[in-house]
Amino acid sequence: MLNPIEIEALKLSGFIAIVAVSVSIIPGIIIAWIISRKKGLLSSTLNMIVYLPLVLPPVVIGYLLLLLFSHNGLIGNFLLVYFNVSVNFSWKGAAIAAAVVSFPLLVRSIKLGFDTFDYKTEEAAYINGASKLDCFISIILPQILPSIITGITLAFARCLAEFGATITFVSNIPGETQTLPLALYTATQIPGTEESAMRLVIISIILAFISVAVAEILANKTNKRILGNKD
Amino acid sequence: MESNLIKYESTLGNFKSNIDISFSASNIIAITGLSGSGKSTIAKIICGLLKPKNGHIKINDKILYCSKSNINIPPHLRNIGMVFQEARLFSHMSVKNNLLYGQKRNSVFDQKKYDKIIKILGIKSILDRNTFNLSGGEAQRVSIGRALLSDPKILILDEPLTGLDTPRQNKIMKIIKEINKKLNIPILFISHSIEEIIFIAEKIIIIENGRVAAQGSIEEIISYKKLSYFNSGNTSYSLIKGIIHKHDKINVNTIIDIDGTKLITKPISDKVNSTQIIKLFSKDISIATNIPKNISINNILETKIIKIKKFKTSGIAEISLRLGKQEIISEITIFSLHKLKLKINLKVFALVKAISLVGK
Repeated sequence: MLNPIEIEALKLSGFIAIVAVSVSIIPGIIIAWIISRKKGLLSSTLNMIVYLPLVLPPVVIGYLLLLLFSHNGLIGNFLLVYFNVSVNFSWKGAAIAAAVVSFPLLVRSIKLGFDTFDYKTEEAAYINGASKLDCFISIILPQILPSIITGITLAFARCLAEFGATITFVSNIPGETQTLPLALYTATQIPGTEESAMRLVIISIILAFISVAVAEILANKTNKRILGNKD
Repeated sequence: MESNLIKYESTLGNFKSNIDISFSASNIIAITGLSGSGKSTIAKIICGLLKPKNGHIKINDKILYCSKSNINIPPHLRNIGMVFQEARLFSHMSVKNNLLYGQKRNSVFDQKKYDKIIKILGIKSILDRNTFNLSGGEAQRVSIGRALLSDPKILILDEPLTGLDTPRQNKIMKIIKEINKKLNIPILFISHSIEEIIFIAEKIIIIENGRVAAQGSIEEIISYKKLSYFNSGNTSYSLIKGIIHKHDKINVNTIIDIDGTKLITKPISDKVNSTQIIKLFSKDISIATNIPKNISINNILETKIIKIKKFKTSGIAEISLRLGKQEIISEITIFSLHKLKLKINLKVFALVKAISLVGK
């Protein structure tokens, strides 16, 4: 049904999305917490930086990443010198691009969870002997789990859809950085691959549907388990 | 020196409070006051959720806060059981896990104590339930259980009965008394309801504008006449103390002696010679200069006017009346005041239309 290149692209897309979201979860939770709870310059600056990828053209993000991670770039140089790692033209770079672009969606959802969390429950936990960290892990995180799950699934879906930043940052290399949308782009550029393009379009639509549906179902389930079937 | 001392000064926005309370172990202390008087602030400061400007807080001889020696123990190490107006249960956990939350963090599990608390609270049948489908009364009992199992040195209840219906309030009040007796733990009961307080507490502290306005036993408190404090808005009332004189089986009523004056009430079950606290709403007391005849009102009490307070905007006058050694308040119109030519030291008859018994 699918040709090897398409299968490769599908696998790579899934892999990159999983890596990108996995590394984003913990920083996402921490930043969402800071933005939601702390007031002040640091918090509002962070807020702006985090949401920037949501409104900037993905090409801009890709280009900025290229500058930062090139061997002479601020981060790229550091990685090369201290860890002997280069992310250019590799799946790692594609994962970074996906992570950056999907990060605002993850943070937004989790922040919403923190915003609506009732701090009074937190006080009850402190008085019952929980330290701040203990309370965060045993009370706050489980209570905002539906928001975290929604954030993860949305970010995952955004990673699968990522195109502009990836192609600008790490180019379009089959088997290394060629994810589904990039494979589709290639297919549309070469005459005689219309069938392949159509298959990739259909897969993309199905994947998008599945992610959104999974997000809905999971969030609903955990919501019911945690807060009861109130509505 | 008492084992519990709460002494502090604090400023929250424009609100200043200056509190100095001490009490011994194993008492039930009620803290009362109008809303905004600073009574809940006391609870928050004891728990460590708020930091006072200066002062000294000691519970069960353990110093929790001392501005002089720079001690400020964080809330989770203070060993305090706290129940709020809302149950504040952890909705992602079962009832049982809620109960054990504080226990796990403060003490070694004691099956006997656990069983005892479950029994007092009557929550055995709901242990495996989720918290979100508990009734208000059940949730509040679980919240009390969670606090008790954390092995606290004091149990603070901040308006725990607000929002519950009367039968559930009564049930929880009985439970609170039982807890104090069986578990031998001091309880700080914060409430604005005089009925709750009289039923529960041995010592009452009245907070007014962030300060202790009066403190003592219920009997001492009602004779303070600081009770103008209880008269808020349209529900002004006075409290008096009496002793049950006799039960009249033929007319089906009980007669209460108030410093020599007899008051007839509906039949009550308490024993002869036991003390009763009676609440008289000012609106239910009319004034007559002669004993009226052919009237359905049973309680026509001889009194003397000691104070007249006019409220010009509403056309109402509050007449303070001396009844024996105590004082009651009648609310009449300024028109009636002029019509009857009432003045201080005049002997008048108070016509008491309704009486409510508060307890004890």
